[in-house]
Amino acid sequence: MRAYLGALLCLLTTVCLSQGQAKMFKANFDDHTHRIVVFFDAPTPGDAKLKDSWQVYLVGTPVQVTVSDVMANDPSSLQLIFDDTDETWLAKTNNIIVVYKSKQTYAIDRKQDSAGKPVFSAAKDKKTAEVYMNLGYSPAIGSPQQYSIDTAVALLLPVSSTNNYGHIGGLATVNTDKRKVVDPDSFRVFLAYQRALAAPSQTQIQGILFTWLASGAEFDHKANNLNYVSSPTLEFPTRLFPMNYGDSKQPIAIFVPVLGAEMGDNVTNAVTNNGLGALFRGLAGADLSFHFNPKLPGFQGIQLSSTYRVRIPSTAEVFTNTTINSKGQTVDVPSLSTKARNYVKSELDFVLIKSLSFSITHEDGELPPAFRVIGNKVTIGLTYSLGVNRGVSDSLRNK
Amino acid sequence: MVAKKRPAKTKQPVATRAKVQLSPGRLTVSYDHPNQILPTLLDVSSHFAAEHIASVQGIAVDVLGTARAQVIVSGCANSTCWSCTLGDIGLSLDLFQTCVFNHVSDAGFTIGLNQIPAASATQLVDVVTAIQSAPSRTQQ
Repeated sequence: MRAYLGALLCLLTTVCLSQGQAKMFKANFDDHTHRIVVFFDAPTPGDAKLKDSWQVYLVGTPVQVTVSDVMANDPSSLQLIFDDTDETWLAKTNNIIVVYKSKQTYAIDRKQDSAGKPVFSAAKDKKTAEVYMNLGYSPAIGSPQQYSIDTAVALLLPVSSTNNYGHIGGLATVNTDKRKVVDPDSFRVFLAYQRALAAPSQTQIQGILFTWLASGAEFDHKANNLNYVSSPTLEFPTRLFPMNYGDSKQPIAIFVPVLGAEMGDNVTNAVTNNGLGALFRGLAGADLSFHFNPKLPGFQGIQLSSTYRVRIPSTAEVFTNTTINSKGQTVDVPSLSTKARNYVKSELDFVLIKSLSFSITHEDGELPPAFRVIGNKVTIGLTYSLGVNRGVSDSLRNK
Repeated sequence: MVAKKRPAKTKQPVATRAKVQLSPGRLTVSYDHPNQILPTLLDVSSHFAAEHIASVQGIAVDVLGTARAQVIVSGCANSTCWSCTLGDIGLSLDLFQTCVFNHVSDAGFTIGLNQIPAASATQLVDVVTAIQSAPSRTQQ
């Protein structure tokens, strides 16, 4: 027991000491200034600003270069400065080894740095995933247990590689309502266009993002309800805190107001045999997300996200209440109305590994096209997210 | 009487390099002191590196450079936490990518929008590395 406690104390001491030491995790050769820029994962240690703390080796050359000065760039990076002759040799060398205090070493491979990165990477959350899949299970609390699927696949590519004309691509989402068996109820397939209208500034508002689901369809699994829809939206991502992010352990909160419209044509619906014709809905809402990663071993953080959308139809559209019949089956009761359709969804994710999280979800409200009442559904499940080069914003999700 | 000339004692030189043995699928480095390892590994890596010296033509090209790339990236992210990911910082990835693209262009350099990494797992330093080689527009 004593030995166990001793080992534990030793481990904790090692972890604490190692956490206190800033680590050189990256070094780049600056082709413009012919200096080496060194990055630390915490504020730069005081002795790193001394030139004698550094040795630089050029692989494949007999030349010895010497750091002539050190200049701090910002709190966690600095520049190693060389004389003119050494700069010339550095500029000619592909493989450079930087040694800090004879303890930390980083090998710069200039050819590798200029090479491309892998296309796919694990996305940390739903907001930044191109491929998102949530498999859920609702426990039986006074009602039958339910299973659900919430899936979104979206891929957008830049219109032009040299100019910022935005991104264009496709989007497909599938959602289930509350049923005893998995019964995909809400499908959406769209041609999508997205462009940043205003870039981030030194304010809390990060900019304005324009998204246009240019042309597409929303329908249920039996195609009882089918709408052709075009939907422009504006998002205003705002960082509530912190203003300046200096430490990856800091909690962060983002608030995104959304304004938009959905217009199109109702082709078929569950109430009338013929379509209802032109439709127009005002769309408003907001997303709130809170992320905290204390960087504990084996744990990637907690993500709390909440979404609210309200759709206000200008003409009567299908609204589907559900009831339980005498056989215990869930039965739809569709009607036509112009009442506002609210939808709220909150999700608490415990990130297990970067692409996989355990999630608890609460949903209430109605989703197009059938606007079937979901009614306070709580789901526990696993969420898988995969990102490509950039994420797809929340406005592309099924909300 | 002539005294026999003793052969002068010669000191054995201390090895400044470790011994390296290369056999199929195996590289063995033997050393007397840890200080011998780094120079030896530098020599060995010289044999494995594909190309040691960058082309002279490459040096002459005016590029954005690391220091300017750092200013652009930290300005767009409102952060100098270089090891943090864009997901950690809670950035809108679209807006961040556009911000970096616009600032690189405004500085007189050229880069493709899809050459700027902006995934949730992208570290700020990855963006610096990706854009630091952006060539000057005048040299295009």
